[in-house]
Amino acid sequence: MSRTNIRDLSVCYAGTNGTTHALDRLSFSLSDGEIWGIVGPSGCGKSTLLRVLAGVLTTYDGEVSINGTRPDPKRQSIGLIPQNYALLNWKRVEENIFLPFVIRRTYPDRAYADAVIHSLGLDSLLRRYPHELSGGQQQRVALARSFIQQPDLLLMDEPFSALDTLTAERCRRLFREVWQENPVSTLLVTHNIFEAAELCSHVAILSQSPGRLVRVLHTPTAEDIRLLIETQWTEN
Amino acid sequence: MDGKLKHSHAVVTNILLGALLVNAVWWTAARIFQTPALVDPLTVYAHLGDAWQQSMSTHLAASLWRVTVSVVLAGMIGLAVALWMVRARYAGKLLNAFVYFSYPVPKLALLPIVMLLAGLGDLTKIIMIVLIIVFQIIVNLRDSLLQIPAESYVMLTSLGANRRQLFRHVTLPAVLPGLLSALRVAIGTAISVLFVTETYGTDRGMGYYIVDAWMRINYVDMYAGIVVLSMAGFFLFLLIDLLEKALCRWREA
Repeated sequence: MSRTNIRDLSVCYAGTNGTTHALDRLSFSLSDGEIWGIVGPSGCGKSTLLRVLAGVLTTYDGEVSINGTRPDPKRQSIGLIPQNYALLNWKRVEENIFLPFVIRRTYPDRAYADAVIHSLGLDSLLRRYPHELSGGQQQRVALARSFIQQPDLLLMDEPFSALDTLTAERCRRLFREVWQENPVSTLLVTHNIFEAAELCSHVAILSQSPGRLVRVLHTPTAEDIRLLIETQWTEN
Repeated sequence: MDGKLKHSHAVVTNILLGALLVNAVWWTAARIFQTPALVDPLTVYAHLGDAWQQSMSTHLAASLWRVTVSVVLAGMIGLAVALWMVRARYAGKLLNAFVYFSYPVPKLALLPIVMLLAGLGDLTKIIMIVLIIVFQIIVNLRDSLLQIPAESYVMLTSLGANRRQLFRHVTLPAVLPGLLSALRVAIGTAISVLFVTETYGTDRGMGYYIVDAWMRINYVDMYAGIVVLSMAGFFLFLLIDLLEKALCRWREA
């Protein structure tokens, strides 16, 4: 059973304008097969939270664990989809998708990988380079790269925000379909309350900087999220 | 495949057309001015075989060795310094200030100092070429490095990539087009500097060959030297193009 625990997580870092307090005593737990949405105003530390969970940012206070151990990309499989997808322009689609295995020097489950690639409609795009793809196609490549590594935790940083409405809707549908086949614990950072309501079983609302947990909503509607953030953010 | 053939055809046509135009202008000027100082291209080409057999091949080999070593060294130093500038916060600031101030200094004027310090051998020529081309390589590479999205490193680190893998999969391919562009420009400059440095303290190299022929008032030899040096520069230029095609395939797609 995969479980992600965050307890009293605080993150400060030194920038050009002095010390920035990004997150303040953040606590919540994510169980296997749950999709959590993280909603908060700009600069409240959402991306910082993803970097801590991805094992990229290792200087913080508090406790963070994935399946009982501190996030460590060398030991755990963590799928990260940044806002701009971070596809490497010099690698073909196929090379981008299988990059996690090249880095970890392991071999993919080829049948599973082919099924994911097929589900995301990428069979005919494998020999192309990222700049030859549309935004929606690039998004699907990033999803495939994350899903085929069968991660312990999937982290998505506003993955649909750069897409037009129709393409974003299609990508969300594809994501749901692939996720239902492989229900990995997922943390989705988003500004879109409709997206959070549509995809997430839990939505954590963060305060303005430094990000504190305001409340966790269970299977909320978009209206529930809107009402809560309106009250909270206007009060602050 | 059809597209690639068309592209190769266009490149070859471009080269042939350029060569034809340069020779036409040269031939016309020789016809108009009718002076021994402007030798007809046909006479020069007819003399190339003899000049090559006499001593030119030795001179060309010396020049190519100097220019190749210098360009490779400048590329390696440029990459190392640019990486340092971007990654080390304080040292980077110092290096930035140093490069900014010293970039416009006319380095060819430093030739006497370098000759005094490094002697009259190959080392002086290599130092001069490296000094002159390394700054443009550093500036070009620094700009390429700054353009790499931070997310690329974040994503690879989240996959467990070590420093060597980050360099191999992100940094190197990201800066390769900038490095090759900088080298392409640098080769033209390097050949010019080579010519100047080979006119002092040596009896080998195309610079020496050309100036020696000039002093002997052997204009046909002199022109043959200029043609061969130009062709050497052009082939080095082509070599960079081929390297770019082989190493940066995604840019062709």
